[in-house]
Amino acid sequence: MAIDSHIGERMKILVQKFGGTSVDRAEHRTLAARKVLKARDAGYHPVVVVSAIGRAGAPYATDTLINVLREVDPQVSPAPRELDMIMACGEIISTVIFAHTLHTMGCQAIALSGGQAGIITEARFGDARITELRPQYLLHLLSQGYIPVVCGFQGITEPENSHEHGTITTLGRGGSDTTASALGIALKAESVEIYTDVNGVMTADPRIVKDAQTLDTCSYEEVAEIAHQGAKVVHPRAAELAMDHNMPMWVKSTFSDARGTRITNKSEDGVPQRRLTGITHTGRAVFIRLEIGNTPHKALIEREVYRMMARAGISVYFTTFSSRSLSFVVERSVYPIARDLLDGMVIPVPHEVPDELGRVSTFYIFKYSSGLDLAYSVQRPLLEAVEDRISVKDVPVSAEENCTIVSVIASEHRMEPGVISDIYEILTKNGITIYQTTDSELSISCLISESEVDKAVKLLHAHFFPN
Amino acid sequence: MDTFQSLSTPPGTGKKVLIERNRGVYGIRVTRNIAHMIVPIENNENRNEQILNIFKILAKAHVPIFLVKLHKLAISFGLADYDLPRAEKALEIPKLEFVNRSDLALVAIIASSMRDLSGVMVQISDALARAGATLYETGDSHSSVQCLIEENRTDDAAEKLREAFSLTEEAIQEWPLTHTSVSA
Repeated sequence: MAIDSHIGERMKILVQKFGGTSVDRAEHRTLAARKVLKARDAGYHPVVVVSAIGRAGAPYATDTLINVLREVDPQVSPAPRELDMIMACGEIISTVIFAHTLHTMGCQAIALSGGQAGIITEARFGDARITELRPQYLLHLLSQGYIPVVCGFQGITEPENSHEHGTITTLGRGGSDTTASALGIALKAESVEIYTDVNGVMTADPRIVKDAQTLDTCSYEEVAEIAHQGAKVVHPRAAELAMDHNMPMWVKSTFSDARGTRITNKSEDGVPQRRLTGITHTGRAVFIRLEIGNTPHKALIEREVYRMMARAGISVYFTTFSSRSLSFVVERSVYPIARDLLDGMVIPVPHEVPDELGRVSTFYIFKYSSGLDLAYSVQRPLLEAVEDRISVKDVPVSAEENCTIVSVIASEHRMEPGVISDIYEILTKNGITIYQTTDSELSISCLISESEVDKAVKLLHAHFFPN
Repeated sequence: MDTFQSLSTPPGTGKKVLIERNRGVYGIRVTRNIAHMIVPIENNENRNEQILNIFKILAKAHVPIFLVKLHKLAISFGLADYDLPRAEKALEIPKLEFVNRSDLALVAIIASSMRDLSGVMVQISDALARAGATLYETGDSHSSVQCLIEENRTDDAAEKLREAFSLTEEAIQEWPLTHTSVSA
C-alpha cells in the first residue's frame, strides 16, 4: 500500500474523543456525531475515539463485561489476558455502533480496533503503556475520505512478539483519553478534543457547587493536577502525554455548544498565569498514626513499616514525621490489610552492646486500642518470657477511618504567602478538623472527615472563587 | 535519561512513532538552601487558634511556607533560607518559641502517578539511610515525594536514590528555588 509519507502534514486532522456518557444512548450518540460532522464541515479530517457505552451497571459497560467473566466461577480469577480481551469488547461494541451512527448520517465511517489503528503496547495486561504508534493505515483511510472511529482504551502487543503476538491489551484507567492523546500526537493533529458531560474544566464539582465556573484555559500541569486530585475531566496520563508532545487539547461538552476549556502550555502567550484553578476532592482514606516515642531506633522502625506496607502492595502518602511519631494515609480499600499487618507487628532491634540491665535487644510491638488489638493481645504475653533479656516496648497505633482529601489547586501558591492560612481559617472556623496537610508546587491538600467534604468544597470555593 | 522514549520519526509522516513515559520514578530534583522551622503549640481547646495565629504572622511578614505539617504539639514547615531571618523576627514579636535549621535541602523523587506505586517510601528511606542522611520531613503529591535532608548529604543522597531507582546520571537535576516557586 503506497502512502504519501507526508500526507499527515497536509491534512487538518482533529481527534475527537467521546466518553461513556456521550455514547450511552441513541440521542447522545446523535449529538456526538453532530460534533464530528461539524468538524468535518469546518474542513477537518476527524478521527473519533470512543469509550465503552455507559458507566458501571450499563449492559455493555466495562464493569458489566468483567462481571460476566467473573460469574463463570467467582472462586477462580480470570487470566489477565482474557480479562483484557473481554474488557476491550465494551469499546468494540461502542465503536461499531458509533461508526454505524455516522454511516446512517451519510458519513463514510469505519470502525477500528486499537490494534488496527496502530496502537502497539507492552505485553502488560490491564495497565499497558503505549510503546509505538503506527498510523499508516489511519492516514490511508483519512486520505480516502473515511472517518475512522477508533476503540479507546486498547492496543495490541507487538505482532511479531513470539509470546504475545498481537494480543489485545488495555491501557488502564483513563485509557480512552490516552488513546486520543496518543493518536493526536501520531497524526500531528491540530488538536485533541475530549468530550464529556460538563462544559469544560470546572472550578469545582458542579454537583456540589452549583455556581462552579468553567475555565477558559488551563495548563497541562494544572489539568493533570486537577485530575489527580479527583476531577474526572481528563485523565492525567493523557494530559502528561499531550504536555510531553505539546499537543493542544480541549475539554468540551457533548451536550452544549459552550466553548470549552483549552489546555495548553502555561508559558504560551495569552494563557494567564492562573493562581487558583479549582477546588477538588478525592479518595476514601484512612489516617494512621504510630506513636513510636523518643527512641534512637525511630528511623529504623519507620523503614520497616514502609517495607511491610510495600510487601503488601500498599501505597502510603501524606507521610509526616515528628520527633516521636509517624503518620501516613492509606486507601480505605486496603486498610484492612494494613491494620492486620500493623496489629501485633514486632520489629526487633538488636543492641550494639547490652544495656545496663543486660538486655541485648529491643522489640517494638504495635498495639491498636483495646478491642482492635487481637494479634497484639495474643503475641504480647508470649514476649513476657524473654523480657529479662529483651526490652519490649509498645507502639500505640490509632486510625481515623473515614477521611478524604480536599485540595486547592493553586499554581505558584508557594509565591503567595497566606494561602495555607486562608485554607486553615476557612475550614477550622467552620468546625472542620484538618488532620494533616500536604502540598506540592500546584496544590495544597487537607485531610478531613469524609462527612465534611461537601461543606469544605463549598466554603473553599466561595472564598477562592467569589462571583 | 530514560524518562520517556524519544520520537523515532516526526509525527504525521506515516512512520512508527514511539511515545509514552515509562511508569514509575523517572527523576530526582535537588533544591538547596532550605530551612525548616518547628513551632511548638499546646494541645488544648485553642489549638486551631494557635496554628492560625502562626500562619497569619508568617503571611503578614510575607514569608511563603511549604511542607506544612500538623503535629500534636507543634507545627512544622519549610521555607527558603533567605526568608528565615524574616520569619524569626516575625515570630519573636509575639514571643513564640521555635526551633529551626537552615542547612537543609529538598530532594524530590519524581514519578508519574506516585500514589499508584507501592514501595517507593521504603526505597527512598533505605537509600537515604545508605547515604547517611537524616529525613527531617517529607511531603508528597501525585507526582513527587519531597524529602528534607541535611544539605551536606545531598549529593550522596541523590546518588543513592539514583541507584535505587536505576536512573541515569542525567535524571538528577538541580532545581533552584525559583523552580520550586519560592519567592526571593
